[in-house]
Amino acid sequence: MTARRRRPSRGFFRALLALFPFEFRADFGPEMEATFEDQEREAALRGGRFWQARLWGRTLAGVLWTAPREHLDMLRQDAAFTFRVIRRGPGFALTAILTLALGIGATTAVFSLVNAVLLRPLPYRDAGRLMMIRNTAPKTGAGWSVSYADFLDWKRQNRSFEGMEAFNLTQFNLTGGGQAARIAGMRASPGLLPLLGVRPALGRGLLPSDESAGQPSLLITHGLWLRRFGGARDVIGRSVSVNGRSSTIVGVLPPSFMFPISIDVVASIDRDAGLVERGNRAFEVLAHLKPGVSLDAARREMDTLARRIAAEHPAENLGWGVTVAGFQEMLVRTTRPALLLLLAAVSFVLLIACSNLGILLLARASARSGEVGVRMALGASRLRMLRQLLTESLIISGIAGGLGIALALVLLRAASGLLPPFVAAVTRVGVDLRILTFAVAATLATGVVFGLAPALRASKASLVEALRTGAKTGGVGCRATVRGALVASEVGLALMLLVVSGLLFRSLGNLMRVDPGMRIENVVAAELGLPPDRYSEPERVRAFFRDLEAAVSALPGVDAAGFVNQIPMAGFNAQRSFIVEGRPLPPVGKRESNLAGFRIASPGYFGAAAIPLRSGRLLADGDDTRVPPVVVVNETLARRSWPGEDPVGRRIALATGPDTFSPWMTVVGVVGDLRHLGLRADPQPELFVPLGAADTGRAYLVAHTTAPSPALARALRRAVAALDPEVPVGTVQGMDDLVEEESIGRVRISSRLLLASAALALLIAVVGLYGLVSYMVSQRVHEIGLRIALGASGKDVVRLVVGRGMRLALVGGAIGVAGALALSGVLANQLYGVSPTDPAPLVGAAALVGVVALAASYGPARRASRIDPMMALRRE
Amino acid sequence: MTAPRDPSALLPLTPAMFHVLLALAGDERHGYAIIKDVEIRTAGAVRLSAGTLYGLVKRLLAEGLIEESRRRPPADEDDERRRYYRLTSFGRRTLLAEVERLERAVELARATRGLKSVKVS
Repeated sequence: MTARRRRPSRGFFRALLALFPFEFRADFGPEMEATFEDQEREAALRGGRFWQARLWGRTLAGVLWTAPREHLDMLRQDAAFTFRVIRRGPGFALTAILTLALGIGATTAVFSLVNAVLLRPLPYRDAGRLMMIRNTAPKTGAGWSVSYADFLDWKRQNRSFEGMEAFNLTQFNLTGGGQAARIAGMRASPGLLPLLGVRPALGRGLLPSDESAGQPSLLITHGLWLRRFGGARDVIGRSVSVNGRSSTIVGVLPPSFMFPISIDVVASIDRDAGLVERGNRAFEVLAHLKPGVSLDAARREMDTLARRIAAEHPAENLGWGVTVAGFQEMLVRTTRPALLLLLAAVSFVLLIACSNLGILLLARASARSGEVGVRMALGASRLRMLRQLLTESLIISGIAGGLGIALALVLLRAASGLLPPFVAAVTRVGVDLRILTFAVAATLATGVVFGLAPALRASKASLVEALRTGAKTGGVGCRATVRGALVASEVGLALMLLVVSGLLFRSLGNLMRVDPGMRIENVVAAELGLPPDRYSEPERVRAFFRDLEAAVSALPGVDAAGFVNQIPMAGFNAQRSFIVEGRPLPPVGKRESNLAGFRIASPGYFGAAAIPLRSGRLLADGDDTRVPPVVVVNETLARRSWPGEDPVGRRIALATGPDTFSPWMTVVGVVGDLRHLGLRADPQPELFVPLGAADTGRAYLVAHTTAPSPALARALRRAVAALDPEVPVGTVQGMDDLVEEESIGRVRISSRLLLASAALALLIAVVGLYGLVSYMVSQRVHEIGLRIALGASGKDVVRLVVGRGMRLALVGGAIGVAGALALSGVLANQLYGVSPTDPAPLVGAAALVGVVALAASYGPARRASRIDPMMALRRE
Repeated sequence: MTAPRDPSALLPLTPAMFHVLLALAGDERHGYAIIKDVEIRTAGAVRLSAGTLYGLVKRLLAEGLIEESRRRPPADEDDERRRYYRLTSFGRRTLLAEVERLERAVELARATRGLKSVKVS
C-alpha cells in the first residue's frame, strides 16, 4: 500500500524539481527528494489523505515560489558577469552592439516600408481583387483614360467583374461657406464609394438619381468639413456653389478615407454635360474581379468587348484597346524597384552585421578558452559555462535590438520620402511589429549560433589542454577559414553597395544638369479658377487676365508675369491632335497619334518663364483676336512636322471632333522645348495658342521675381482678391520645388539612403577586417617573434600582416565586382544617363575599399612589427 | 578572507532564515530535521517546504553562514542522499547579532508609551 502510494508522489516531486535550474537540481536534487520522502512518511504516519494533501500543497507552493527566484538569481549572476566582462573590454561589446543596432534598425525601417507599400493591401474593401481598367491608345499603346460612354457599355456587357465604377479627377471652384477656394475633387459614379467599401460618416452616399437631378450632389471629406464648415452637423442639405452651379452637400466622408490623389470633394456626374460623350476620355475605371475569374480571362473578355464597341463606334474607338491591372500594382509599379533596391541594400547590412557579430564572438571564444578552462577547473559545470556564454551573446543582441527599434523609427521617416505622393496617400507607414520581431530574432539567432559553437567547444576543451596553453591559442584551422570567408564577403557586399550608390549619384548629377527648358529659380506659379457663370464672355475673361497681369507686374520685386493653362511637371498634360496643312489627312482612328501638348498662354508667360525664342516671334498682345488665328510651336513639333524646313508661316489645325477641325492657325514662332512631363521624359511636341482665344476657365499665374520673396504668395492672393474676391487661388508653388518634387527628390533620397547603407556596410566590414587581422597577429605572436629573431625586419613583418589583410580584401573585392555586375540588370531603370556597367563608380569604390582595407590592416601590422622577440619566445 | 566579515551587513534576517539558523545553533542537522525542528520550535506556525528550505540553504551556504558537515551518523541510520549542515562561526555571530537587534527592538517597543501591554514571554 505504502509502496504504491509512494511511487506517484515521487514522480510528482521529480516533476516539480525540473522547474529548478539544472545547477540547483544537481546540487540539492537528491537531498530534496530524501527530505520530501521523510515528510511523506511522516504524513502517512499521521494517517490519511488530509495530511498528504497538505504536504503536497505546501510543497507545490514552495517550489513555485522558489524555482523562479533561483532562475532569476542565476540570470542575475550571468548578467553581472557579462557586464564585468564588457567593462573589462568595452570595445568588443560596443562594436557588436552598434553594428547590430544599425543592422536591425535599417532592416526594420525598410522592411516596414516595403510591407506597407507592396504587401499590405490598399485600404479598400477586397483590395486584392480591385482592378483598374484603362484604355490603350492606338499605335503607341500608351495607357489612357476612359470615356463615360465606353465605361457604361463595359459595365453593362462584361461578365468578369462585379461592380464597375468610374471617376474623373478635377478641380472645383467652391464658393459659399467662406472664401472662394480651388479644391481638388472627383466626379464619381454612384457605386464608387461602396465599391471601395467607404461609407459616409454623415449623411448619405451618391445615388443613381443624382446623375439626372439637375443639380450635382456632393460628399466632402472629413478634413474639408472641419476646415470649411467647422464640423457643423447641419452641413447636410446645405447648398454651395461648385463651378458656379448650385450643388447640395449630401454627405461627409469618414476621416479614414484615403485616395491616391488628394481630394476634398466627391461629386455626382452630370449626364447632361459634354463630359459623358464617347470621344471624351476623362474617366478612370475601377472594378472588382469576380471570385474565380482569372485576370487573363478578364483581359480576354475586355479585349473582345473593346473590339465590339470599336466596330459600333469606329470614329471614336477604332484602334483603342483595353488594359486591366491590379489597382495597387498600377500605383506601386514605379516605386517598387527603388524600394526593392533599398531593401536589398539593408538586408546586406544586416547580413554583414550578423556575420560581424559571429566573427567577434568566434575570435573572443578562442581568446577566452583559457578563462573557461580555469573556471571549469574551479568547479563550474559545462552546462553552467554554456549558459554563461549564451547569456552574453543574448544580452548583447538584446541591447542592440532595443537600440535598433529606436533607430528604425528615425530611419522610417527618412525612407518614407521615397514614396511618390500618390502612393504615400494610400499607405499607412508604421514600424511593423512582425518585422521588428524578425530582425531581433535574426540577431538573437546569430547570437545563439555563434555564441553556442564556441561555447560548446570551449566547454568541451580538455582542462589540461586549456590550462596549459592558457589564453594564447584557440581557433585555428577551419574556424580561421570561416572567419576569413565572412570578412571577405563583408568587404564584397560593401563594395557592391558603394558601386550602386555611386551609380545613383551619377544619375542624380545627370538629372540635375537636364535643362527643364524654362527658368525655375524665383519663379512661382498659382492656379486660378474663373467661375464659369460670371466669366462666360471672352471679353470678360480677357479683361480679367489683362488687369491681373498689370496688377501682379506692379508688385514690388516682380519683373514679369503671365498666364498659362498648364505649367510643366504639375501632373497635368492636356493634349490635342492636329493636322498639318498640305499633308494627307490621317485616316479616322489614327488621328490621335499626331498629338501635341496643348497650352493656352498669355504673352507674359514666355517672359516670366524665360522660354527661349528660336525663330519667328512670341505671342503678342492682340493675338487673341487675330484672324486668321496664330500659334507658337516648340522645336520638337517643328522638327517632326516640317523636318529641315522653316515652320514660320506654315499652318496647322486642331481636331475638334472625329472629323471636324478648327480654322487653320498660322505658326508665327518656334520656342525651345519644355520638359513638361518631367526631367526624365523626352520633350513632347507642344503648341501655344493665345489666352482669350480659347475657352479658359482655369489658368496658372506665373510670376518671376528678382529675388526670393517669401511675402509674394500673400501679395498675389491680395491682388486677385482685389480684382474679384470670388476667384479662388490654389497653392502658390516655386517652380524649383515643383521640379525637385517631380523629378529629383526621390532620386536624391534613394541615392542618399543607399550611400548611407554603403557607408554603414563599409564601416562594419572594416571593423570586421581590423578585428580579424588583429586577432591573427595575437595568435601568431610566437611565430612573428621567431621571424624577427631570425632576422626579419619590421618592414617584412608589416608586409606579411598587411598582405594577409589585403588578400582578404581582394577576394572580397572580386565578390563585390561580380555582384555589382550581376545587379546591373535590376538597376537599369533606376538610372539616368549612366550605364549600370559604368567603370567610374566601380573603380572609385574599389579604390576606396582598397585604401580602407590597407588602413585597417596597417594598425595591427605595426603592432606586430614591434613585437619583442625575447618576450614572444619566452611565452612558450 | 582577510578581515573578519561584519555580520550587520546581512541584517535583518528573514524570519525563515532566522529559524533555520536557530535550528542549526545547537546541533548539526539534515534538511528534514531542520524542517521538523522549526515546526516544533514555532509550534507549527512556520512550516517549511523542501523547495523553500533548499533555496534558503543555498543562500546561507553562499553567504558562508552555514557549511556542510563531514560527520555522518552510523551507516544503518544514514541515507547517502542526505547532507548535514552546521553553523559557521560567522553564522553564529550573525545569529547573535540578529538576536541583539530583535532585543533592542523589543526594548524600544516596551519603552514606548501606549504600548505598555507588550510582553515577551
